[in-house]
Formats: sequence, C-alpha cells, structure tokens
Amino acid sequence: MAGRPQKKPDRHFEFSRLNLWFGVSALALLAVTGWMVMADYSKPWKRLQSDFRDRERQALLRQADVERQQVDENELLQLQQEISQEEERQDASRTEIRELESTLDKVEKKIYAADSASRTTKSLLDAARWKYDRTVQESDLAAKERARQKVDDLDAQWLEDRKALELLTEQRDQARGSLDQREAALEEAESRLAALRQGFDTLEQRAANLDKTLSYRLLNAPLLDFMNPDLKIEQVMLPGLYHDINFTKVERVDRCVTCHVAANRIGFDGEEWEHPFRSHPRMDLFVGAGSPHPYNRFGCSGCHGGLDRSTDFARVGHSPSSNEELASWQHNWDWKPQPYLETPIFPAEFSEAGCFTCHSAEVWTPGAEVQDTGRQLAMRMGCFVCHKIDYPAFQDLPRPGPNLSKVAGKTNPSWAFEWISAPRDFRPTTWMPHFFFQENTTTELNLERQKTEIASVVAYLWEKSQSPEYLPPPPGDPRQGQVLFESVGCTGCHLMDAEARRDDFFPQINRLHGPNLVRTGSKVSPGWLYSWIRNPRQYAPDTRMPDLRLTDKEAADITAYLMSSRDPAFEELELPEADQQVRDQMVLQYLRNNQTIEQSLATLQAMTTSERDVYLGFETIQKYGCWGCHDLAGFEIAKPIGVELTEEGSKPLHQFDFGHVHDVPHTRHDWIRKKLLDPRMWDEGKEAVKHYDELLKMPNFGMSEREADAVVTMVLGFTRQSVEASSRAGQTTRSISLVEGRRLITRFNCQGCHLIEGDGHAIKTAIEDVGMLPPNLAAQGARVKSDWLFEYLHDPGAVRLRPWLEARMPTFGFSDDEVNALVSYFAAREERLAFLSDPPQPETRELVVGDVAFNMFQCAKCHPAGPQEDLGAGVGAGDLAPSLLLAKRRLRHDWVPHWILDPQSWIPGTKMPANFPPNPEGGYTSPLAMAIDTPMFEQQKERMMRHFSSDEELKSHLGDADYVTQALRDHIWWNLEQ
Amino acid sequence: MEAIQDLINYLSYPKWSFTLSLVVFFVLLWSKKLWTRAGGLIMFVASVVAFGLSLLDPNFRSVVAKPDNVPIVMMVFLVGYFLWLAMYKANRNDELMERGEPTFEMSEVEDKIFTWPDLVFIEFICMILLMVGLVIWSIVLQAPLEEPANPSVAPNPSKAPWYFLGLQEMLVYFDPWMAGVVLPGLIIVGLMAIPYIDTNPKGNGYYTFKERKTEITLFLFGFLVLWCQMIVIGTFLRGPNWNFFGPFEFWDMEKIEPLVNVDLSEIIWIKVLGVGLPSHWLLREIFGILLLALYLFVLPVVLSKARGFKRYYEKMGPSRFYVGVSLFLVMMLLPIKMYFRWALNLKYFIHIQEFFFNV
Repeated sequence: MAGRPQKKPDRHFEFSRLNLWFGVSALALLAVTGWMVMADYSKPWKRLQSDFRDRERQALLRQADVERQQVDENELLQLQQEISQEEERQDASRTEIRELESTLDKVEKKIYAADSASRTTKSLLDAARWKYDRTVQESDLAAKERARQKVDDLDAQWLEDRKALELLTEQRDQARGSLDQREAALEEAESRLAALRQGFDTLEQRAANLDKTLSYRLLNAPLLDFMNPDLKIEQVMLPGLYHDINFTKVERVDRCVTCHVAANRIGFDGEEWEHPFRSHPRMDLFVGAGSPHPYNRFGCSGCHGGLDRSTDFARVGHSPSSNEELASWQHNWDWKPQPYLETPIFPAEFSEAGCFTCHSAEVWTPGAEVQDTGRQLAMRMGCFVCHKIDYPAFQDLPRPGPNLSKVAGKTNPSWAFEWISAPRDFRPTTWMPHFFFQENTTTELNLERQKTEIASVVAYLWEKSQSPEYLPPPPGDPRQGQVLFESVGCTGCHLMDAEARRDDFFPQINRLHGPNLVRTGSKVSPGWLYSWIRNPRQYAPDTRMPDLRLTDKEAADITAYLMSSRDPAFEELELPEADQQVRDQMVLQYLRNNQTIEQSLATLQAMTTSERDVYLGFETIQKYGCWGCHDLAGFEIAKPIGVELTEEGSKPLHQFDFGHVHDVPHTRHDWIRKKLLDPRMWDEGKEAVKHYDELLKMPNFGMSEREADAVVTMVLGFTRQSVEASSRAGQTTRSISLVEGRRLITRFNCQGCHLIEGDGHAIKTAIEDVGMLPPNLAAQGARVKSDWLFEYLHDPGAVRLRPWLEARMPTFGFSDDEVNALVSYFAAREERLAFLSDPPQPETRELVVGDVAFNMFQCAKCHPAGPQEDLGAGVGAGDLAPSLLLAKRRLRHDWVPHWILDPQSWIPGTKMPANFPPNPEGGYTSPLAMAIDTPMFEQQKERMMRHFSSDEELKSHLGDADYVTQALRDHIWWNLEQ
Repeated sequence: MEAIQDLINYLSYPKWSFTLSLVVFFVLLWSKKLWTRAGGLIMFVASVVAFGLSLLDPNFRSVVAKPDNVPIVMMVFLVGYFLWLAMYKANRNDELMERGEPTFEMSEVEDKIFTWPDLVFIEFICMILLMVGLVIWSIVLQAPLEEPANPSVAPNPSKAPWYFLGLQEMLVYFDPWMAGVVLPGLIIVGLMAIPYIDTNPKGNGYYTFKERKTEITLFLFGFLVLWCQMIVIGTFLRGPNWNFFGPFEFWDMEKIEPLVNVDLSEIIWIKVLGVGLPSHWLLREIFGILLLALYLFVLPVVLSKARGFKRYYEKMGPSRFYVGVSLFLVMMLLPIKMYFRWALNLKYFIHIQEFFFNV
C-alpha cells in the first residue's frame, strides 16, 4: 500500500477507512440476521414432520399399489372400453346435444332474471304491506285506500312473477331431463368405473395431497411460513389438567404430537414405523377417539409427565431407560438432564405411574397391571403403615401383620427371636422384612446392640401378651389332613411349599395372601393350631381368616398334617445371652431423652432386669414401628415413623439424599428403586459419623427386580394434584360401588378361590382339575338375585350349590354393611339394578313347550330337578350342575334365557353345552324345529299340537330360539316343585 | 495445580480478598508504570491467561459459563479496560503538564467537528456492530424455557439482578433496612451531591490524575472496591444458601459453615463486664449508640482540624466539608463493619429489636 490516504481537511476521520468499516459491519449484520432466521427456522420437529410426510406418502402409494393389484384388470379395461364407446356415440349426436345445452343455457338465464324479478316484487310487496299497516290507524281514508290498492296490485304482480318462474323452471327441468337421458349411459359407466377405482383412487389422492409441490415449499419456506404452513406446532389445550403453582393453576397445553406425529392416528404400528412415527399402543384404551382417554381431553403429559409446552427434545424431560439410550440421545438430540423439571417423563418401564393421577380413588385399575401389582405389594408389605400415603386407596386398610396380643399362647420366645432376626430364613415367602443385621450395622458393638434390641422386643411382647391356655388337640391323621388341606379350600390363600419364593408368583400377589405354612410344626403349639383352625376369631378378632366349618375330626387331621412340617434348625433354640452392659447403655440413652443424666442413672438403678428389658422393648418397637403392621397394646395412637409419600413423585430432586454413592444416576426413579432393593445403602460411608439411633431404619423386604419396579411405578404416581376433580375417574355411583366391592375382595382374597373380573383362581396351583375349581364369578350381578346373594354371603353353609366341589366357601362373618357392599359391587359391575320384580305368570302353552323342551334337551341329565332331590345333599353321578330347584330363588329371571342361549359368552369354559348354534345373521337357531319331527318326539309333538293351531305355527315357535329359552325358563320357574 | 487452586480458594474469602484488593487498589492507582500501552497489554494478557487457565476447572466453568453470568465476566473486562484507558489518558496528560506542555485534549482537537458525518456515521457503525454482537450472543446463549415459576420451589441460590448483587452482598453484614434502604439511598444522595461538594475546577475537559488525586481515589474506591467487587463476589463466589465458595470450589448444597456472630452489646456487657444484658434497649445498646454518635458527629469535627483534612476544610468551607465528610464516613462504615465482622464476629453495633433498628 502506498501510504495511508490523507484525510480530508474538514473531516475528523479518514472516511475511506470508515467506509470499509461500514461495509464490513453491514455485511456482518446481514450474515448474522440470516443466521438468526435460520436458527429460528430450523427446528428439529420440522424435519420430523417433513420426514413423516414423505414416509406417509410412500406408504399410501404402496397401499394404492396393493389395491390396484386387487382390482380385476379385465373389468377395468372393459369399463374403459364401454366408456369410450359411449363417448363415441355421444359424439355422433353431438349437434343435438349442443342444441339441448344451448336451450338449457338460455332457459337458465331467463330463470335467473325471472327469479330476481320475483324477489324484487316480493320485497316491494312486503314494504307496501308495512306501509298499509302504518296507515290503518290514521284517519286519512284516501291514503288508506291507496295503500291497500298498492298492496293488492303488488300481490297480483307477485303471483304473476311466480307463475312465470314456475313455467320457466318446468322448461328447464324438461331440457335437463332430456340431456341427462342422453348422457345417462355414459355417466353410469363412469360411476361404475369410479367405484372400481375407488380403493386406490382415494389413496393416491391422499398421497398427492402430501406431495411436496412448489406451493408446499413456498408456504413452508423461512419467513414465508407465517401464512399457512403445513409444518407447524400441533397442540391441544386441556382445561381439566393443570400445573399447580400455588397462586394459580396453569392449564396444560400439550405439544407432543408436533414430533410424535402419528401418536394419535391409527395405523402406524408396524415394524417400519420407529419412534417418533409410531401410533400409540392400544388405541382402543388410550388416545383413540372412542377410547376412555381420548386425546383431545387428556393429551399426553397428564399421564406421561414431562413439560407439556416444550418442543425441544431435552427440555421436555424425556427419560432414558438405559445407558445406551442415554448415549444415543446425547449424540442425536443433545439431551441433557433437566434438574428443574418437577415431573420428567416417566421412563418407559414406569409409564403406568401416570394412571394414578386420576385413578387414585380406585382399588385396582383394569389396564394398569404394573401399577396395580405395585399397590397390591404395598398393601401386603405395609408401606402405608410407616409412610403416610394420603389417598383413599390407602385408608382403612387392614394391618398387614398378625395380631400379637396373645402371642404367648401361640409360640415360644426363642422362636420369636430367630424369626425377628431374619424372617426369610424361616419362611422365604413372608412379607415381614428384615430390620436387623443390615449393612449399616456391621460393627461389633452395633451387632451386639441389634441382638439386645431383638431380645428386648421379645421380652416386651411376652410381658404384654395374654397367655391363653390351649388343650392338646385330639389325635389326627396327617395323610388325611393333607388331602383335606389340598381340597377343602385352604390352598386358596395358603401355600405349603418349602421351595417357594415370593417372586415365583409375580404378578399374582394374592397367591401369598395367607402365610406359607411350611415348618409350622416348629413354630406353634398344636393346641393353639387346633383352636385357631376351628375358630380364628377367638385368637385374633380382626383376622381375615374365615371359618371353614370343619368338623372336629377334620380339624384334628389338618392340625396333625401341619404340625408334621418341621425344621429342626428352629426347634430347641436357646435365647442368646444378652449383653447387660449394652442393654443398660441403650436404656440410659432412651431415658436421657426426658431426664437429666443423674435422673436417668437413678431410674435405671431402680429398674429390675426384666423391667429394663421391657422398657427397652417398648422403645425399640417405637423406633422400628412394629406397631404399624402388628396390633400391639400401647401403640394405638402412634404416628407413622417414615417419610410421607403422598407427593413423593413431585419431590424436588435435591431432597433425595444420594449420600456418598456415585454410581447411581441422579433421577427420582433410580433413587427410589435402589432404596427399595437395598434400603440402608444410602448410609454408605456415613456409619462412622451417625449415632446408632440416627442410622437408617427402613427394613429390607428382599424384593425382586420386578417387585421393585412395580412399587416404583406406584410411588412415581404419587404426584401433586394436577387434575380437576371433575376430570378424575371414580366419580360416578357405579365407580364407588366398584371400589367398595373391590376393597373387600382384596381384603378377604376372594380371588384366591374365585375368578373375578377375569383374575384370580390362585387355588389352581393346588387343584389341577379345572372342573373342580371354585366358580367363575363373571357376570354375577346379572345372574343372581341380590337378596339371595345377601343371604348366601352371610351363611354359605346353608346350601350346597355345587355339590361336586370339594372346596368349601368359608364363612367370613361379614357385617351387613360388608355384604351390602359386595352385592352392590356385583350389581354395579353388570350395570344392573340391585332388585328386580318377579316375572309374570306365563301361559299354559309356554309351560307345555318348556316342559317338552326340557325333556328334549335332557337338562335333567346334569341338573338335579326332580321333587325328590334333597337340596344340598348332592349324591349321584348326575350332579354335575347346580340343582334347578334353587333357580327360582337364586337366579334372575331375565338372565336365564340368555344363559341357556349362549353359556360360553357368560362363563367361558363352562361345561354347560351350547344348545343353540349361532346363525349367520348374528342370532341363534333352535334345533327343536327340526328335531320335533323325529319319531322319538312324536308324543311330545302331539302334546304340543293341542296348543297350536297348525304345524307351521308350532315349527315357527320352536324355531325361535328366544321363545324356546324363555319357555324353558318358565318351566324351571313354574313347573318344578320347589 | 490442586494446591494453587486451594490457595486461590482460600484467598478468595472476603476477609483476605477484600484486604488484598485494598492494597492492590492503592498500589495500582498510584503507580505510573502500569498505565501505559505496554502496561495495559501486559495486564490484559495476564488476565486472559489467568481466565483461560481457570476455565479448565469444571467448577469454575459451570459458574462462569452460565448464561446469566456471562455479562458479568464481560463487565469485569470492560471495567478494567475503561479504567486503564482513563488512567492512561490521565497519566499522559500529567506527564505533559509536568513538562509544561499543553494537555493532549488541547493539542489534539479542532474547535468543532461536524455532526454529520463525523459523529453520526461513527455512531451508526457502532450501532450495527452492537446489533451484530447482540444477535450472536442471543443465538449462542439461549435463555432457558423452564416450567411455570413455582413459589414453593425457590432456586438455591436466589440471586438479585447483577446491579443489586452488591447490595445483596451487603446484606451479609447489615440488616435489610440499612443495606437495602438507608445505604443505597445515601449512595444516590451522595452521587447527586458530588457536584455541590466537589468544587475542584481542575480536570475540566481533560484527563488528569495528579490534579484530582483525592477525588478520583475516593470515587474509584467506592465504585471499584465497594461496588464492582461486591458484584463480582455476589455473582461468582456466593453459592447455595449464600455460603461462600471459592472460584474452584464445587457448589455443595449441604455445605455448613459455622456462623456465630455476637452483638457489641453482648461483647461488652457479657464478655467484658461479666454482667447480664440490661432489659431496656437504651441502656443495652448505649455503647453502640455512643460509638456511632462519636463516629458520625464527633469525628467530622475532629477531622476538620486533622492534618490531611484541614486543607479541605479551609478550601470547601464548613457546610460542604461536613456534608462531604459525613458521606465519606458513612461509606467507610461498610468496610469498617466488614472488618469488625471478620475479626470479632461482630453482628451489630446497635441491635434494637424493639423497633427494628440495627447497625
């Protein structure tokens, strides 16, 4: 460069330099603006939507191809030939057609003119009428007359106009008609062709709509896409679902479908549609328009969690399910954890957690099996006794553990010591967890303290227990006892299996409703056992174990059988020597909570050894919360000792103490899951600085991975309220009846023996013969009368419905309220009213037909129906079905015909034969119409002909399946002697 | 490396860093060599290198790279640059004036220059460049869109906007009335009063340090040491629960530092005299009240006769002098209180709970 250019004399700066700066900065601004536009425009969801558009188009074209293949080529060609022939023919008479068309045209124009003339006249007429109305009240008669005359004139004019219009219209119709005639054949051929092509035509049309034409590219271009873009945010506003931010509720606006384009559309669930282009699974239950959870009312985030309004992959709160997924998300989508998001999206394996948001009032939620299993586990493990869970489903639950107020009469202290130390050593399937000897109490001193605590608890229990005396039972036969045990119904709730593990029965949790009775002989006294089996309530008034109405002999046999199961490792045990010093130190520690050091020492000195033991036992029970599961004297109003879980799913992440553990991802579900599997692990590294009574206390339930997953699913669902009450489930009367019934069903384990709502029959692990299983209670509300059911539930022993069954329905000793709840449950389930009126008395003819049909179908072969039958005695090979003598009292008269018509639709797998085959129209045919002509039924035919006027009438009645089944019902109701 | 970081963490504690910064402040301001082109370059390079090396530490990075804190980093560099620029120009003028030559401003500038294009064109270019900078900044450091704000889950730490962080830091030492209302009010009043107090005609229209040593030192003390440094502390060195964290320290939410502070009244009545606290507030806080009265009312009079201040008293006249000295003493109350806190764990000189007056 030659030299710096001189600045002009009257300028302060060198302007060539400044101009350069200006140019550079202006270009920079342009570039940066372009960058800004592109940064704003290029969103990942646009690319996804564009991709999906292409793929949908290709799929439609493929489908169209398939349809095309299916169309008969020949037919297509033929039609096309026909059309071209027709067109030729039309061409021949082209001039005529043209004339007709021009006539039509002219007439149309005239009609238009006539029509507007007529309308004008009409409006003038209306105005004139009004004017006349005005003049009516005036006194100027001349004006009135003039106005009236005007009205008349216009009226007449209008009539003329309309006549002219009608004439013209007729002409037009005629012309149109003749034209149509000419073109009829062509049009018909064309419409047939269109019908043939319809399959692939519509598909190709839809594919063409998805094509990326120029107008598509313009409408979706940067800066131009404000007008009417195809690629846009798809959102749905959900008024009943909200975020509660304390001073207001912000309603949810879900934008998930912006990326998950096919989620609310049917038909994208093949292998080739990977996320996010896949339809939602089970659209009949979720998201579909006809499902209970339609998309436009529930959206996505109410169930799945996540930040509803976001369209950024990371910010929404997608939770990876595995490390591979995490890595791929970080790579592809720049995923980052979102620490401020209250409820990130539930990971896939916990997606049922969201059901609880609306279904918190229910006992179980059909369709949410994992969640329900979690709840069942929580109820049996007793989570709710230490951790307050403030939802209706967890109120008024029975205590999970047995009543210990008379434990001294049942077992011995050294067994109790072994049991409390490690319950699963004695009974691997037990629900009682391990409180002691966990990994945060491994020092020698702590081990000693643990032993002392257990010994003191045993001392307390024995001190406070009543000691009922039990006489030894009469001698019994263990083999007979085993037979009884496995047949009478014990196995509906109990197991007798040394190898069984709790996880074996997942998810049928209620298989373990009652304890596994292996090794009973080493635990209880025989006298207690005999007394218990005969009458459980005398030992524990609130027990759920029912009365099986055993005779003395049966009870003695079962006692002998159960007592024969022993394990020498648990017999003849010595209570270990407790270290007095450690015990005294612990007593002092507790005393110091309320007294000074001097006073505590004095109190200690004043206590005898056993008093110290009992005091320490009391404090230990209070510390570990034993009274939550077990009824214990002195702890009636004690409060739960654990963290409240009511809003655990909304708890901020920083309130979960990950302690010194570094290999667990920092998410809520990982923390909870690890806690469940190994509750004391978060004390790792802290045992040195925590005092003994500051150490974590939660016991170890020995959960398997799937049990933990189920419970985590449940706990994650405990979020803050985010649904309006009116949008929640369980608000109808029907739902409330269902909930009350299910609560009792779960409490008393009806599904241990019965099949209810498709689930149950836990007893089938012991009874292999399907015919010997307790009945399937499907549609019970439609089948039986409520008052009969009421009486039956109060006293099942009064009648033997199904005499061939060995298993007995036990007597539960329900209160009236409980029975009413169950009866309402069954009725509500079938959406029936609880009571119905009696059927009208039928005609004689129906009774005769019924009788004949009864004989023709040979019902009595299985159903006892004769007058000599003893209700409930049940002897004879013919007893394969309930006695029909009970029918009138027991069954609903409106149900019986439907049952006879199609038994399998009511109780799948029933042995009742289907006597009425279905016909193609959807109804049923009665075989009697044909059968009545066979020789063996000649007498019956004669009998019936007395009531029918002709053979055809008889046949038509006998062929009507509905009529026949009703006649049968009438026969059962009115002909059989009760 | 760890050792250096630990040392820096330790020295960052306010009691050390404040003292260090005081020393550095006076040394820097009064040393001429730094305020040259070479000096400036060296300072700039040194600070960039230090910053760059510090960025290697993940804890430092996570604080400094937060989109909210990036402007404060920029502020530190910008304030430093403008300080250097002003001092450079001032020193240049001082040297010229020592040699008896006219100041740079006098020799450099024409009488007038045109608004267009000289002024406006420059402004326009600056505006464009500023736009470019802002747009790039907004694309690269995006504001997060989080959940609707939830009052029951407050972020920890909850920080005021940067321009109030100095005051929020003062809240550690003073009670809210003083730190939030009285002192800020007096800052504003003081700034407004400067033209009426400062009657030194020198330095009008040209940079100089020599002719306005006191004024510049006082102002920069208040601005750099008391205001900007507090902002820097509040931005980078205060973490969860407003605990102090060194620049390389991990922001542990569970950090617990013992904080047992005692009032002056407790120190004197209980520790020194051994009697209990009197129940009436006047008697109880009499020492603090006397001390404060002495400081605010007696000290100015004493100072008016003291060696360094007498000159000013004569130059400015009593009313200006007393107003100026009072404002100066109130400003000095902050570092004085801070040192009392660090040395004696002093909570309040005066602690009157009855009608909530605490100093």
